[in-house]
Amino acid sequence: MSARVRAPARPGRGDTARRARVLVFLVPLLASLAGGVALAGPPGAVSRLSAKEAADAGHAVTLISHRLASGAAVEVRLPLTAPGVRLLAMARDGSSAALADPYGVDPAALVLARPDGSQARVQMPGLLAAGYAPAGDWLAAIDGRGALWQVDAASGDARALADGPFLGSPLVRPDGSILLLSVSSVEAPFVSQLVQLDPDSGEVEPLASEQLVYAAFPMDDGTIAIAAHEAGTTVVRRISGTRDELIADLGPGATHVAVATNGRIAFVREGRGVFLLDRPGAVARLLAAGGDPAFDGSGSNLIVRQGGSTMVLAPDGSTIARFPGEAVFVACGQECGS
Amino acid sequence: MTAILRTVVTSALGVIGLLAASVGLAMAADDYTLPFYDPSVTLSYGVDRDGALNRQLDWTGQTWYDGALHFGRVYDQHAGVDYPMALLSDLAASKAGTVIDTEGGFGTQQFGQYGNFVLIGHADGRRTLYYHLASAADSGILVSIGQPVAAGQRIARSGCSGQCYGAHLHFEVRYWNASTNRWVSSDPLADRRWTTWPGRVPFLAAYMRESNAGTEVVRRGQTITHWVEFRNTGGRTWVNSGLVGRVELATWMPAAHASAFRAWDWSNSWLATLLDSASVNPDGVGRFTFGIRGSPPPGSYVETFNLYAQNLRWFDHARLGSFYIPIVVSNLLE
Repeated sequence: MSARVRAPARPGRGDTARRARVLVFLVPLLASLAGGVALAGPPGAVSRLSAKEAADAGHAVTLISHRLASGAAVEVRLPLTAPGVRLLAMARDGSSAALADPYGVDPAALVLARPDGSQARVQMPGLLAAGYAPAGDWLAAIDGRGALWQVDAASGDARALADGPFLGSPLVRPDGSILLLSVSSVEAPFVSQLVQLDPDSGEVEPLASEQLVYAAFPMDDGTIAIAAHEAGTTVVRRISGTRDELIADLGPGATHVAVATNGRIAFVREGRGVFLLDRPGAVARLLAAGGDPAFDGSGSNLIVRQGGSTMVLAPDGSTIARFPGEAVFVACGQECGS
Repeated sequence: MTAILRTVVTSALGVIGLLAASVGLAMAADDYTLPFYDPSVTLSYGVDRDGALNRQLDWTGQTWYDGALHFGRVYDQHAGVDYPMALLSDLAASKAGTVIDTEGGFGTQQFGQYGNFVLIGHADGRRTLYYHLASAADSGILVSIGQPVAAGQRIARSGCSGQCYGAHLHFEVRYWNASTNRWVSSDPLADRRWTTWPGRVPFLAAYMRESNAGTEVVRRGQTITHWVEFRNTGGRTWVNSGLVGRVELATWMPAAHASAFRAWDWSNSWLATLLDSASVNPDGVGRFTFGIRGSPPPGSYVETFNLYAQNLRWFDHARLGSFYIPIVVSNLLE
């Protein structure tokens, strides 16, 4: 579809790096400063806390597994002493949760919380989003300026992968590649293009021609669904190789789109609530008040945020479960609690 | 006599204005202005002209090798200019153009990675982007795709949607870079080629003088001529022709009220007069000449006026010196 390019994704970085290398021979002081240009920065300091240490410091994060009639969910209880802390991502098996300080805090702590209460806290230059690898052993994190980091889920050790800027929730694929949204600016991302980054080679490959992609979702058949803004409307498209197929036109003002692996679509209309589209061509129906919809792995049940609480809803809108705080679906097995 | 002379002059100017309409309009539609109306709004962060991580080149030419915020100047990798303002402040098209795209689905103060915007294309090939707008549900988006907009037209209201830590407008002037095949954000502050009147809001005026700064005394049934001059302290050229944007002197408090002092030369009950000359460039002085007729019963009155950019915007009356005319109608019949 498009030529592969080397990371970092931003054009002109190679020239910058070359200029920096020239300066090394000319002005050592400037070289040391310019060295920061070529990297996202040094790895963030990591502090590791036991459950007791975290509790004593007012940072306790509690992960509580719940078995549902279909699947499971992990409820995340956040420290009351740290308002604005955000849940960014959960490992697929519920073994780790990634949390962050409120938007705009720099430096920010990436908190990797485990069910036993222990934590690794990684200092980052702000934090926008994170996503776990399928095995849950590492995660991709986007810092406050849009740079991409690879963070070990157990130790918290981080290494810079690309300068970006990127946005969206990084989606780590089974082969280790990372789906990201390469943006013109993290503050006002008028251009937001779906790219795939190979963390080993650093190669970045554009995957879709859409210029303002809001989110990407893996599908059962191995394709990718994207929610994108097109002039005056929001659409869902399926990307497969060079094929780009329109699945649904959600109309103007549709935001916070979620696409299930089976193709069902949920989205938000501001002030009205969460709508559900069961299949392409169907009429979207209002499911519930709230926002931030997310499907479970089977694409049947939905999680919807209502104020500070979380509702688990069946496709007909009936309530399966309610949690006082945030909760996410996980794909855990026998180890799930009740 | 004065009124007759003025009519002749005005008619002549009207003909000249028609003949020179294309020139006049070209002058009027010439340039970019700040995308809001309140001149007290100031910059919080400008464009990082360097763009590389950990290196910031601000609009004054200073470079920092850090990722820190530098208020009034720049922050790392910032692609536009930020102007803090109250929520739901009116925003103006920086230049005439056509609306290319809008998004209004995000909440006015909804934190998230994406926000509401208006994108306008201009005849010179540039585009302007207005970001973090209030939601469409909060009347944050006031234009639709394909709609032509005049320079200075109200297009949106400010919000704090997307990556926003306090209500502000993120404004970008973008141009197409053919060599890289992509739109690039220019720096409106450092690259003064984008406007000949940097830092100007579209419509602003300052009181200069008038034919009689004291009380006008008019006999009942008589018409006297009054003129007032204002300096164009905004960024748009004033014109006296066209249906959109021509500058007029009209009644105020309340806006466009029917005046008891309407003379025969008024266009209607509230529109006293157009700008006397065909156009007045920024920093120029425009005169507005009109009649005051002593129609009301004898007594002391006050009539208040403001400038109005036809179908676009009333001027800031306070910054116009709160212009009004004390009028005494005497009881001697003409």
